[in-house]
Amino acid sequence: MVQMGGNDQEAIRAVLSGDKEAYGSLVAAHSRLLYRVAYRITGNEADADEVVQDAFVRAYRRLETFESRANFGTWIYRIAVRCALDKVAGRKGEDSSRVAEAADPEQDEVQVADASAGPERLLLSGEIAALQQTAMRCLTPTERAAFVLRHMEDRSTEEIGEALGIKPNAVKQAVFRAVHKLRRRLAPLRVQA
Amino acid sequence: MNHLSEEELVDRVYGDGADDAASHLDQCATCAQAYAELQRDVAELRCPEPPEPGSGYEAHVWNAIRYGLPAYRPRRKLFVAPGLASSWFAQPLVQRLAYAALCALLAAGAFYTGRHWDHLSGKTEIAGNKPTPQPRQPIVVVVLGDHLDRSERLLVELKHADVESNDSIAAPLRDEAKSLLAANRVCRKNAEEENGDPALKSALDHLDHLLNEMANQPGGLSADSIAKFKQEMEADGLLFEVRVLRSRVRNGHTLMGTRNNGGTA
Repeated sequence: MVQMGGNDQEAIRAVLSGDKEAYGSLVAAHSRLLYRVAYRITGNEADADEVVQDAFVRAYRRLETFESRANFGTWIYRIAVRCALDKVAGRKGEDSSRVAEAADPEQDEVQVADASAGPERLLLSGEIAALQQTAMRCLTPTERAAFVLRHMEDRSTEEIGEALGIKPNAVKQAVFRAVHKLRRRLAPLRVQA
Repeated sequence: MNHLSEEELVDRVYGDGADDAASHLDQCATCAQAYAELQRDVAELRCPEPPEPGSGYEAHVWNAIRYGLPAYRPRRKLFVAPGLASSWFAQPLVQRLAYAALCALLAAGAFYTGRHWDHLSGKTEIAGNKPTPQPRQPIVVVVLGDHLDRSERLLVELKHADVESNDSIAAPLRDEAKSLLAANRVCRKNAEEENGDPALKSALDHLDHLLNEMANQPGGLSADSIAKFKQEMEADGLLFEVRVLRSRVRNGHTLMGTRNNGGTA
């Protein structure tokens, strides 16, 4: 996970002693990493930005409960994952209606271009990316977060379990269900290619 | 021979599989083929990399949240005589026990005196019957006052904004709205949690709606969108509402809540 320098500890001590501005150095040190994971889970810049801000505000409010021996980077990363999960869960209804429009795999198959020629191949890769995005939206928030953390962020099952507040076995099942759903939805593309 | 399930194969792809699954894959062609297909499919699952945020991203995040964060109050340290803490464990056990016994005796004496005093004065109250008034939380009020000041300035700028003759004001307006949006969210949350003034909650809700639209207007603020926001602001009487609240906060009449939680609003 994220490395924590003595600077983080000093900043936390300063904040708890009343120096609010010291929190700015923690924001500076960790905001990019949080943005990356938030973007991967939420799938768009505006939501990711909001998640990062929410995570820092939540962490600030609970800073007194933060154990000084722990790693601030790891702690805030987990908070950001939870915030991103809440964000995705909050908009789940909205997304599911959009996914329902393209829910038929046969329909997806018709949309795919022949991969033989150069320009068409580019078009195909664009379509694959678009279809992957649609497929990601059909995952539940937990499946999506678990898959992103395992597949893209390369986190261990235990780390994901701690971040999502679930047991390692539940993490494995969530990743499995995500992979299963994504493969099923992207299967028509493999037939074409 | 029992073949490996898809779940076991997925575990294996991510390096979580059991050792006997590995030996099974060496012996079973069917499972080996399924595993190879799964590996290929998983490798193809590529999501777009997050766009790199701009060079001032850290400052943007900090500016968006800093005004909504109340400063912690420094913890008071108990007075300890110089050298007492460090020399405590260096003292002989008998001496330490004597200190402990003396402390226990003092505590018991204080307890007995307290009980005796209650009987004499006859003013014993059952704990919890009478809520003790909590001191107001000045830090939260200061933060709220600051937020309302900034919001008022933005609303005044919006009211007088003339984008057609000067389009350079659109971007700063939008940036300020973005920055205020996060602070407003924190103030709203505080107001809800503290069960504060209904007028304040209503004003913060209106403000949230307007700031959200200003901050997330697709393509930036145009003359048309600014005219629309002006109209909304005037219809809601938002500027007036904010001014009234600001003056009440200044005079100490508006509270977000009275709970004193040590500075963590």
